[in-house]
Amino acid sequence: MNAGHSLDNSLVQPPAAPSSAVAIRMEGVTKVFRLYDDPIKGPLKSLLFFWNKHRYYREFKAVSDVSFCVKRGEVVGILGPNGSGKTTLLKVIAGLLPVNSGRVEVHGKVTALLALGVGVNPEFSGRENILFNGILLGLTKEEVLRKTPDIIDFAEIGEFINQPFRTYSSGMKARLLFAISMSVAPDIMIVDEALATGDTYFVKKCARRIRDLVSGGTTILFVSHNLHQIVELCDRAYLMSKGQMISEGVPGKVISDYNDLIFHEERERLKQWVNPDLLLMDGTGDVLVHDVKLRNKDGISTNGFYTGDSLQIEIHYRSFLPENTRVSIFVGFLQSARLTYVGFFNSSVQDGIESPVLPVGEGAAGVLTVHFDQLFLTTNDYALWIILYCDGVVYCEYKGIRPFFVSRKDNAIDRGGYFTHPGRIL
Amino acid sequence: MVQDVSHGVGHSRKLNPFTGFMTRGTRAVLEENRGRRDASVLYTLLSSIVRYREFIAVMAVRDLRGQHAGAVLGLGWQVLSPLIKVATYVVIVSVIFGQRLSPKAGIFDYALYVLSGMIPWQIMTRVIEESPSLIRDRQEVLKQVIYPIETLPITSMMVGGVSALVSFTVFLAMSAATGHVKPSWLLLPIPLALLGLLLLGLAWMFSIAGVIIKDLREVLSTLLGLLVYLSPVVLSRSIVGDSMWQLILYNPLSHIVICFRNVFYAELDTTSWILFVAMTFGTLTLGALIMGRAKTLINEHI
Repeated sequence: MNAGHSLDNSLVQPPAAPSSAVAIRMEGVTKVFRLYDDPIKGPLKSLLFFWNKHRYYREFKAVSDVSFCVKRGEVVGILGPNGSGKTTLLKVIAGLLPVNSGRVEVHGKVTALLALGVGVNPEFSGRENILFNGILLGLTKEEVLRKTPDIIDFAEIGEFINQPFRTYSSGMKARLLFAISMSVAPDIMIVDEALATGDTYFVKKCARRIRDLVSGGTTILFVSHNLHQIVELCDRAYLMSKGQMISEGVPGKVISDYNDLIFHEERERLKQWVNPDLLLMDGTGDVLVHDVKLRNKDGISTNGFYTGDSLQIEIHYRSFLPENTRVSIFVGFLQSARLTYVGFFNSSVQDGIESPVLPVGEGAAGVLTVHFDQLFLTTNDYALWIILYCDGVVYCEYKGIRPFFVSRKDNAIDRGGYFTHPGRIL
Repeated sequence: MVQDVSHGVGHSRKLNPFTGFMTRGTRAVLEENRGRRDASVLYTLLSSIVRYREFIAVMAVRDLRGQHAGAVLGLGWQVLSPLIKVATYVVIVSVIFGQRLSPKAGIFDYALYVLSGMIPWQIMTRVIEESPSLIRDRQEVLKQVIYPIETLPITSMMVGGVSALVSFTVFLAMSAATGHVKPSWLLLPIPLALLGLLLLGLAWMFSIAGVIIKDLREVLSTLLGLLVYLSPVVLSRSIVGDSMWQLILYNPLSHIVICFRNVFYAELDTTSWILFVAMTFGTLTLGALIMGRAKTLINEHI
């Protein structure tokens, strides 16, 4: 309604070479959203007081200077963390959003599957919903009617098709909606996370259908957090971060870039996390910790680690204890989301670990180092719980300190972390 | 550039008549891109209504089925409520206040008078009241698929048309019984077409405005509820007197009712016709400008 202020005419160029092999081409596309402080009065005020309109909104660059090209018949995946601009990009290609600058070329009929079940009414029967949903996806009435038996067949709904949609089980609902989406045969299909749900059997069926579409010449642009699907289905992939395309290539390479990015982002996020200060929670205060450093296998102080790699914890302390006092060290690992206690190391009960003797003297400084050869923690955010004590006397206790992030080396996003459990065959 | 894409449109149109708008969305993006405001935006919008007539029909069925799911009478309410309204007006004005259109005229003549006014009024109120929520009620769909939002007012126009048709049938039967049917009735398509275009323009404006101003619907329906008493629907010059009638003529909607009555009673109020035609093209042009500009941008606000 009130854009058009920053339209860039200079970016419009005469058509390049005949590009019949190209399905989608974007050059320097930028999309800026206006975030109004007041969603109702804001747009009105900026329209009325147009000379001063910048007072009423902040600009957010969802897609910034993106250029890419998809050839006809290619299956291209787009990866990226949440909020990196993937859906905005897809909406621009689908023609749902205008751009602020840059040029978009789309050759052929586009069908965008941005969400399942667009316009589904639970009161209508399955058959009616097929008609309305199909029409909304861009089919004509006769096309939908012709395809209806195939859709019912594909979804395995059977005689329930004339029952109201609300009476279906959730599996049936998902299958019917997938089947409708899969029945369109456009030149270009845009799929946004639509395949992320559903049971394995049906997802496989959909993957087969996608391959059929591709062999029929359909171009597919595919956004997913399911890395397995990207590898399985895509010829090529792009990685988006903060509205920009930062990597492009074969899926394997882009996925590894993606994992690096996620790992990096998780670590950055932890920097803002709570309790960075070493606040004494309990204890006599005879020993005080003033710094805790975590080092990875290369000896670098960091807050991101991989499952199975080594971890070294350095506890920098000052001691006010009398001569020859031994201290035991307890290191607990807390899952930071709920501060659940998931594992520990204790120097006094573990075989072969001698409790160190701290140096004597008023405020004598020193470093205690605990080394773990192999980190057993799986993908998650963690924090430490450290207690220095002796014979039931707690000198100091710190809980929820030094947050860090652990991930699988090959898949940083997979929250269902797991590890290769040591074992042997007898 | 545009030629390039039109090539794509032409190619896909062979596959599917519907694809016109599928790719047209992209072309709209390109036009945004070039900062060009096409002067023929009105033509584009009107022709899309013709092009998507099948789509509009299916969506109208969907909307009506959705609105009346679980209702006993369903569409019957569209038929009943205007007749009940007419009966109420007639009883209040004629019986309770004892007003007559002219010294010789009876209650029956007054009922005919009210019915003839209700015919355009019903279409107007239906479309105007519904327009602010046209886009808002469908935002989940509009976010996901390219939808020709310029076709949205057509459904409420059709529903309003059903009520008006019922009133017209009753009016026709009553007129035929008393020999009131006149050859001038053949001109009815003229005010109907004008009204259709006027309401289309209004609905385009209000549907866009309704996205941002959430209480527009309440404002409009309250206003219309009051305006019926400042319109010639239930009142006539002989009932209210000259000075009050002058006030009624300040209501722009009055002239629409007067034009319809002109056709039914074979009269001619030139001023009302000029105003009606001017209003129609004014709102249609303004509505098309607003709709053409906001068509893709509105997606950011829903």
